[in-house]
Amino acid sequence: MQPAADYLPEEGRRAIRELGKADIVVGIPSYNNARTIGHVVMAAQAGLAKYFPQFSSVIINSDGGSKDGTREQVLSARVEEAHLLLLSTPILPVHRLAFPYHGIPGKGSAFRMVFQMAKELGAKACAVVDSDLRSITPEWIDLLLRPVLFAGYDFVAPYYHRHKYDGTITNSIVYPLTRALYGLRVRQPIGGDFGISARLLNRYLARTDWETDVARYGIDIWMTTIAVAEGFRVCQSFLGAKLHDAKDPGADLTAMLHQVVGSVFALMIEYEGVWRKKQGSEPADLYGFRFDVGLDPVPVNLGRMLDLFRRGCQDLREIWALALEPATLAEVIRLGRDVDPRKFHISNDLWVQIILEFAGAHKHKPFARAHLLRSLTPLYMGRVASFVIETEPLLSDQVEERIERLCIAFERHKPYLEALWTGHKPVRPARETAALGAEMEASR
Amino acid sequence: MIESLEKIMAGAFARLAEPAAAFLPRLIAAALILVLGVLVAVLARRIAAGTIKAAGVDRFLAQSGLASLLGLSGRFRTSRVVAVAVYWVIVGAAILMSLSALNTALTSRLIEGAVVLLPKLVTAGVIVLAGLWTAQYVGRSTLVWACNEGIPRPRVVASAVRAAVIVAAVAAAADYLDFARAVFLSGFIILFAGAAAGLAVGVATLAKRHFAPPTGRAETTEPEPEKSFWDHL
Repeated sequence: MQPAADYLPEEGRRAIRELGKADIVVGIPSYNNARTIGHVVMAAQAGLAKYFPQFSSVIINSDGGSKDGTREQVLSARVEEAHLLLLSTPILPVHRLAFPYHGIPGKGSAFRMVFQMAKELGAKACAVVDSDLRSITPEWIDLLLRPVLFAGYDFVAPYYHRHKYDGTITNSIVYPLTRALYGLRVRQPIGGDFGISARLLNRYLARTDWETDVARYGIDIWMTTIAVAEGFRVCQSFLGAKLHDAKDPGADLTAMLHQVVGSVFALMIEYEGVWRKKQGSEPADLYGFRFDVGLDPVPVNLGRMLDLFRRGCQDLREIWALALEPATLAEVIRLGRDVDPRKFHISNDLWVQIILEFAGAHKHKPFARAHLLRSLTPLYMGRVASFVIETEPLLSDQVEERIERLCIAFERHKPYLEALWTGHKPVRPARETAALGAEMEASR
Repeated sequence: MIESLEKIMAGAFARLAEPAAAFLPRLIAAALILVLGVLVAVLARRIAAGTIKAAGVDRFLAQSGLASLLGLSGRFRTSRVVAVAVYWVIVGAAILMSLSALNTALTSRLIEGAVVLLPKLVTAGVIVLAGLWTAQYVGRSTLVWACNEGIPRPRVVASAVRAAVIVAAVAAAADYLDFARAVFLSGFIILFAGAAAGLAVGVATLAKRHFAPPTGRAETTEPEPEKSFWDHL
């Protein structure tokens, strides 16, 4: 583990000496985001000037070695103050800094540098926003920071409208599982845009697991889980629509899936004492004025997803057998034999059992973890394909209701997870009734 | 005549009986040592298997997922492997001791050779075992990767990788033992040269497909860019 003081680059330490102190820090991690980061920086700057003029603020871009002029975009982005209706005077200047971070390349390492800077500057609150956002407005900065600065919250999670096929890792695994485990309904636990108090920031920095999957895509769920599981005050802010650049086609999204899920499973081991005491779930406080928005359609390639699932059933059986109970595995293999896009369906119960059995195997089979997590991809693709087929004719409210049903299935299976966790023979809870299947048929 | 014949035969028997009488006790001792050794080995095998089973090593290896990496079928049992190893070590020692009891020039040479060779054999065995374990791990990683990336015939690719690692381990063990060094080295070079050539052809084919300038009429129209497989994430 690198000591925190060594983690900051020399130019970061110099900036701290020059600035001395800042009340608010806004962090923007980036890697080749020249196309969008200018807009994000301007929105953050305008938000700080408009809503927090009495606070000294710094915007920090923590860059992973971009080669497309991302840092230059950050430093040159300007907001014409005449374009903003600013009633408060005087307005303290908003400083902008752009540094490359050190350590393992990834979003988590970028956040670590931002948090360290925020701590050294004595910030009262810190917000982080993604650099690929196209829908960010100055109001986002207000909505992420105000609950921390004026209402005593430690962690503000985002709450957005997203297209029904956007955020499928969130909808199919992370949200239902986190909610069932820790009993709090944080709808976008890996949203990427958060507000954090100084108290929680110090807790994050005191942790010793930064150089794991947390350094990469595991950071978002790690932050949310620590906040919820350790009893920090958590709320959500409604930010409107989340529109962002399409994922980098060169990026290995299998890695993203296994880093996020691996972090969830690792935190389950750490917080076993917390989640085993929880039953059911309760809503998290939600701030902001809710309104409907138009969303970009998200294209999905159903054929390729189903093909990947079918191939997984053919080739990965021996690896899945390390995690799945014989009955679950048999059901999955049966589905893989006849992948018909008109009929294909992975039920909520089967999907919950798959995820929970993988979680149990992650605990009990440490030497097989890497293979198990990577082998989850075809199963996940199968579930997403099933979700796409099931929700194709549905409107967003109806889709949200389907996600709610999945969440309830996760909560209902908690005793099943506990049995898997303690090594006892798990007993499957009563199945979702055939009525649900009939309803699904009717909805087609 | 008969008297002479009797004398000759008695002389021959006497000449045979003398060394036989001298050798027989050693032979009996050797046989006894061997039988005793086998009995001890059988007993030790049972004790080893029982002790390891009682200590829960098999259960730990199965639960931790290590067993699936050690045995190709995933049904690896430490108790069985250790028990067999203990059995053969004791039987091997008994054979050497019984040969030593014979005290002949040939057996002495055999024992000397075995004593010199044994540590090398054990090391070579460890190299091969480590190779098998690595092959299983790397093969499984390849299988998952190939399946996720949509590579055709992932099982074949994984088996090829597994075989390459095993060949490398066997070549390293043979090199350590100075056994057929040239044969293994040549096989190793041919295998990797073939793999490198195959890789180069694959890369060249992909590069041609992606970067070749449009030549024919059919290629002059701009193909519609394919949507990312992962956009929905």
